Amino acid sequence: MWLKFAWGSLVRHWRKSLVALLSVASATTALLLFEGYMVDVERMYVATFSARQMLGDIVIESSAVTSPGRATADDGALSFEAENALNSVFLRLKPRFTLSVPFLNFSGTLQGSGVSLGFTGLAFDVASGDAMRGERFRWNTLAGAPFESDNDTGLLLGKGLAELVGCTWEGQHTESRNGVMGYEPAMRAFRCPAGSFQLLVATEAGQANAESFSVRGIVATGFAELDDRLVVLPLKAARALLDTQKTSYVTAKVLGGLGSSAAEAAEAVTEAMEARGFQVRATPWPQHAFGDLYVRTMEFLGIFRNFVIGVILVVAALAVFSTFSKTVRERRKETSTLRSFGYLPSQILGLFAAEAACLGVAGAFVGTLACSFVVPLVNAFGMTYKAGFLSDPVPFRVGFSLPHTIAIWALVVSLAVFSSLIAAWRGVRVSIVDGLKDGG
Amino acid sequence: MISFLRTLGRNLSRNRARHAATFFVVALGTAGLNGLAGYVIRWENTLKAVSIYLNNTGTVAVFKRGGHKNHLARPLRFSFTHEEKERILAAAREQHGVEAAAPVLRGQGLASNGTKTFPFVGIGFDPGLQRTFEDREDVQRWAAEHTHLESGEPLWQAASENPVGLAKGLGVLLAEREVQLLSQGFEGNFSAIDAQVVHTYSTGVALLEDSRMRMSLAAAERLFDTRGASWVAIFLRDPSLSRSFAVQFENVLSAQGLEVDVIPWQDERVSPFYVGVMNFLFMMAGSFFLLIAGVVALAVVNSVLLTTLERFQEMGTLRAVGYLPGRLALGFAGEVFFLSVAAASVGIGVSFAVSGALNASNVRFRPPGFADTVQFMLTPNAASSLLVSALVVLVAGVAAFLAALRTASLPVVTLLGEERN
Repeated sequence: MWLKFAWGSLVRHWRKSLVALLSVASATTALLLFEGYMVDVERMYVATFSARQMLGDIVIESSAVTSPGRATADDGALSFEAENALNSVFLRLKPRFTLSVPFLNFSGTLQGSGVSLGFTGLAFDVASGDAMRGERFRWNTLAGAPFESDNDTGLLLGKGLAELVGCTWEGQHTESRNGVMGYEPAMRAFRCPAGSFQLLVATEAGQANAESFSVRGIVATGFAELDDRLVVLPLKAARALLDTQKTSYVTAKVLGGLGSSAAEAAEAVTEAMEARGFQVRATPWPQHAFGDLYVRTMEFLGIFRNFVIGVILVVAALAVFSTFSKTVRERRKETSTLRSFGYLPSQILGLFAAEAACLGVAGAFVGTLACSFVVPLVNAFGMTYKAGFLSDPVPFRVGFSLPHTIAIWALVVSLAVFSSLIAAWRGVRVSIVDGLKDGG
Repeated sequence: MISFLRTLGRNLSRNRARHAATFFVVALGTAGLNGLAGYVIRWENTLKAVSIYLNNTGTVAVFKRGGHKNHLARPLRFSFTHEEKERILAAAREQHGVEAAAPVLRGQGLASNGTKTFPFVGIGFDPGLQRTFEDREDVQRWAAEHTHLESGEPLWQAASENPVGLAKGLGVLLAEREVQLLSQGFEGNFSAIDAQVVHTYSTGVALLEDSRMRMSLAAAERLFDTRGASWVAIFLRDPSLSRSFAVQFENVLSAQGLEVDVIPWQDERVSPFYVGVMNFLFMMAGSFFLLIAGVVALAVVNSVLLTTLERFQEMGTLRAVGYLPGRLALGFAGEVFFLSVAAASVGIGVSFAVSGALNASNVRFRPPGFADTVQFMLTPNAASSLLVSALVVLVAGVAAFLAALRTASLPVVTLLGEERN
């Protein structure tokens, strides 16, 4: 009944409530848009790290490694026996672990086409890497073609490194292919002046070794500093080059994904390996050095969001406060009449609070409706922006998240109720006689 | 004028609570936006100082044509010879407004501590000149933390023959004070030097921490076996002239038969980090301005509509004696204008006070992609304050005018006959 009464009052005094409602609606729209942007950024990062960069959910490496994620064959890598033990752990815990990908870091000098350049190398198991990337990121080359199997003999060059050695490719200067959303699985022609390049490395035992590889394709990680020196090989080829059976780290996908499932799975792996006599460190990737960028970005955006939320909510609250200050003053006769019937001040406050709640809900509804038109429009525009250290432009998109939407609705409704209570507090305590005498 | 102000004061005092709320909204919006502007200004100045003076780019960087990308891979073809370098330096010193000109060498190689070898990219420059730049007032004000060393002494204090500084990550990997540096010299011959690690530093960018090195120009010349330059950095007294100087200086050098690219420091080719970060910040700031201005405008509209509802009969009377709706609306807008000017002034004051307190408390955070924490600072200035105030007052004034116009345009009979509530 109260809600019916409150809704009736709101409708009866719609003129005064309209702009307050619009303030609440605009605050809701602003919050939904920014929160939606953050939701999309988060989804993009998770997709990029988990799938595109094949980190899955957890990263497992030797606990002896000094620079997380940077173990090499001669410094901190998992031994062949440790990797076998890890595979048997995965089998034993099978429903929990759905996929795993072993990686090997290496570095050296790339020679050919008249240049000699230092490179940073990354090798991974092709089949499991394909599965980890999934359909969206399976085709991971900007030009050329991805590896088809671990027996492939070619290499992939980072975009910047490819340019340095004189490679050119279709659409290089005229078109911006953005790997953030995944590439279309289409072969784009490329040409390197040298058909192949020699990789000169130090093996696990410290001996020099060199081998020629043809260029199979060109990749882009999105980080210019990395693309300027990246070489990618199938794991088998890298192990042969470095004369090693070691693994720098293994990534694994967990049933249930990131969150508590990943943390529990990481703990289970560590304990199981310890029982087998191997000391490893298993970490969900957001807590690993790999995930540092993701964590920093979300924190950074969170600072902006909190700042903007603060300003917008205070302004919206003041709009509701202004409206209810006037409303309470004008309806003094009405409230005094109710008090003369026996209503307590707290009950009348409750009526105003219900009216404010209705205003808040109506405003949130209008704001959400406005968002439902604005968001597809924004996303359809296909706008992109440069995000600092990333070399590829990032698509500007706004996502949707039901939990966040519910939280925002709760926030604006609570704010409207709180503002109305502040406005009405003194007004409802005027004496009945004065209130009834008041012309309003 | 006096009677106008008296009327204004009387009208504003009619509903103090509502006008106080409007005042607070405008002040808060102004304070928030000026604080945001202060954040953008801070990073603009910091990244400018880092790009020009600490990354050895200079206000303009002179590369061999195509060399900004290719000097590392093909130094013989895309770096300057000694003779070309000297000609460029001489030409630079003849130009008006040039504070300094210096050659920079950049190359790559392998660094060894006797047991392990790691690839590096090294940069060589004049340590004395670098010291001068690091001591500059603007560098100390905006980028002091980027001049700090993680450990050890600066290159200009080092007494060793081949002093080098290692980026933090590379320092951890090598973990030795004496290292051997091997490189394919600019002319294709292998060369090597014994170097002494005199300090470790942070590049500021996480991805570069395990591969960067810096050294004296003399050490770089020995290592890369050249007396030429990868580029020549020119420092202007007034960095705002970088673009025009770049065009003009390129013409000067072309007339001398030198095929060069003269690139101003703001260009993405030499300052990709600056361009990327500032694009992002401008996008964020622009979006927030729209959001905050929109909400402030609606709050003002709300207040004005409530006010006009109370003053229906007053407006009706004025309309009846001949006032036009626009003139009436202008009156309301004028009230809001003066209120907003006062509120914006307070908001500016609050933003400076909050900024001062925040800056003094040395709050630190690590932005994405940065290797270390930096101070969270807000540095609004007079220009940003004026711009923000003008925009907020304009938004509030226009919103008030449009809101009041709607009511003032109602028929006179309706205005006069409407119940006060």
